[in-house]
Amino acid sequence: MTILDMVPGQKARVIAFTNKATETNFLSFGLLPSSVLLLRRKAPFGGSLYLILDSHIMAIRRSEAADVLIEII
Amino acid sequence: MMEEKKWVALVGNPNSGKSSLFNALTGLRQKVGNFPGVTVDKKTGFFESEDGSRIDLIDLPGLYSLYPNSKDEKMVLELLLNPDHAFQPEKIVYVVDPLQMERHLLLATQLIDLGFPMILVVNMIDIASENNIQIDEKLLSKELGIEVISVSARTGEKIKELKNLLQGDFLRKKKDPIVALNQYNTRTATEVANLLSPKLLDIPFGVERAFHVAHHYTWLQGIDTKRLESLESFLKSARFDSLDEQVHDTMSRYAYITPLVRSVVKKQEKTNGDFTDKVDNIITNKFLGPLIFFGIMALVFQALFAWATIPADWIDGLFGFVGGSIKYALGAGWISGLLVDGILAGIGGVAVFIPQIFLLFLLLGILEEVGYMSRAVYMFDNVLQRFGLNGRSIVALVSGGACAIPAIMSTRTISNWKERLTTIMVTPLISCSARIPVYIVLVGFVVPDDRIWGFFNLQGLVFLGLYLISIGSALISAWVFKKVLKTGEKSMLMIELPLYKRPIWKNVLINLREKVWAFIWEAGKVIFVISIILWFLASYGPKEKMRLAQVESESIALINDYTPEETQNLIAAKKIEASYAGHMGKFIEPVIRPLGFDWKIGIALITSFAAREVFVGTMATIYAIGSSDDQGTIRERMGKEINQETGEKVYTPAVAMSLLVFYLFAMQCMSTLAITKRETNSWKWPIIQFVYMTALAYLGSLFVFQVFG
Repeated sequence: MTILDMVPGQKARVIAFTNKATETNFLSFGLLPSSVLLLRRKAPFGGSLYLILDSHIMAIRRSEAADVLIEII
Repeated sequence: MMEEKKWVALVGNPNSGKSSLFNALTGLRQKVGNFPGVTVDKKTGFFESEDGSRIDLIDLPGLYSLYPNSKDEKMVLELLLNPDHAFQPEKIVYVVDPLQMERHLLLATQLIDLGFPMILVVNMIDIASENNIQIDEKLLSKELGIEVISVSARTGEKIKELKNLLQGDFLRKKKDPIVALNQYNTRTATEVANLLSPKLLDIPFGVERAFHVAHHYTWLQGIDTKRLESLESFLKSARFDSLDEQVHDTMSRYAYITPLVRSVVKKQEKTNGDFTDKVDNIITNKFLGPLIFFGIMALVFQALFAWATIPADWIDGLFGFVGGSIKYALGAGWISGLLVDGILAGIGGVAVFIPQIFLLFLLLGILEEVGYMSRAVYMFDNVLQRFGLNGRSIVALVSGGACAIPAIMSTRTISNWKERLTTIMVTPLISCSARIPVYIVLVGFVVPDDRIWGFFNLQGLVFLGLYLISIGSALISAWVFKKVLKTGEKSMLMIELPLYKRPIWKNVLINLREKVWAFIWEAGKVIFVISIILWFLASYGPKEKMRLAQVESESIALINDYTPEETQNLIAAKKIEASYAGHMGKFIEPVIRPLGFDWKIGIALITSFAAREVFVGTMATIYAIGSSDDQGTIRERMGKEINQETGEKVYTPAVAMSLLVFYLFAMQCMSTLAITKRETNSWKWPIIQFVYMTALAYLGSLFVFQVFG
């Protein structure tokens, strides 16, 4: 499953990335394989996702979320 | 000469507090310009150290890694990889946020491995200690092999020590790279260096830099077609996969950084993320969030109307007084005309908007500084994306309410070219402050100054309606551009939401100064020139006709027993009719007739091309009012205007509405076109912008006039 399958409040661990084009960007943003993330909330109108990571907060699009394989923890 | 300087560059991730540090080091001794040939902000500044020697600093745009996305980020690579670049730094001051050490060290290690002499500045050390975080500077310094210093740009803590440190040579105490190129990649990079310029092989770290050129050669400047082709075919044959290598490089660096950070950063408690989370629970709430956003914007613009008009009136009065005095001192004649109606009117036309623009960018700057704007980007990305824009476009769209010029310049953070271009193209549709005086005069013809339900001011509602139409038309136009423009480039949101923090006022003020200056300079120089041209067109005409106008109005004045002032006003009115501008107004009359406009309005449309608000002043001259100080008088006079052929009023509600719609949509700002030209680096886009907006204005006015007229 990917971040897209998570519901707000769920925590997950990153397993891998499926799109090389966005992978480097995720890595530069500090989202690495085995990073733990919390899907905190979603933007209105089916919008972006609000993620809390270990030390910072980031927002990503749904299309970007679909590139991150995770397991719920 | 100036380019001979040895630059110390400030580099770091976005939100690392890099610009605060730059402000703390240089104060007001800084300058904003553009890098030659590219429209990326170049912020430079300097300070003098205790022994009197001068250190020149350059604040580079924030970036996350050496694998850039946006135009700003790419420029940094350009500057670092090209040894002949005039701004290639001699030394780097790398800024990190102690709470984000792991991420921020990624780029630091990449720069160390490119051989740049560097020191590491741990910024915001005050916030770190508030959060009970300790940094083992010594260990970090020993591991990386470079100098490390903890400072706080906010409190000024250890800034002096940092200044002293900046005089050093920053030489690294270790020889080994942090992550070395493997054998295969070294071979690839060597060949790339050979193809590019063999002298790269002789300079230290030339091979490492050449490897980065292999990643980015497709967009790096200064590589000719021949080299480009040979690079392309070589890299293909070497099976070089840039994305694979980027991921590999990044992962190897984290493998080094993660354990390092664990031993260097000592955390005792959770950070103040709890506060931010509580605020975001409300502010980015699905339902409340957008309401709060529009509420804040309504307050901001309300403040604009309430507060900015007072100093604007002072400025207007001041220019009126100075102009009057000059005319009095010099008497009538072309010199006083040029000085007052050409030059002074041009400067005044710019100055009068400074209060509004100052206030709007002050308020937006505070919202940005505390971290609110990135929440707006997060909330509206999806909606804006449907119209072909990016969440980041929200900053430009809101700023467009003040002035399109700084707004268009703010689009540089949008990495996708199509989204950036679309934002640039539609931002001028947002009603800027120059349209307000025109609206104020015209709205009175459309609806009376009444209240409905005893509460809503009718004219206020029309005003609100105009703003809503301007936003709506911008979105719809963006949607059309989305359908028309093609791109293969990836579109990204991926944005960091910084923790909320108290604003650093110095940052707010320095940013404000930049924005206001962009308006004064960029708009000012164009308005200045056009103002002089328009003065000429409105004051001069075919000699015989100008003379006749003079004689005719003098005799009318004599017959009707006019006061000297009334006589002067009548002469001015007759002369502008006989002038070149008057001829142009009459020339375009057949075209604007279907919109309900006569040649007098035609003159105002032409003179508005310098800047829209000139409409009011031109109307004042045409209707022989003499002074444009009082919009009420102009409105009154316009209300009395009778069409001599039909005997009906010229300014019916339909005409006023049609004129309102015209000013709402028309591209009547040369300065904005000049900025669009600069930002898109082509004539094509300003021309398209002009044509589509004018077409929109014409068709909109035509529709309104034909339906209501």
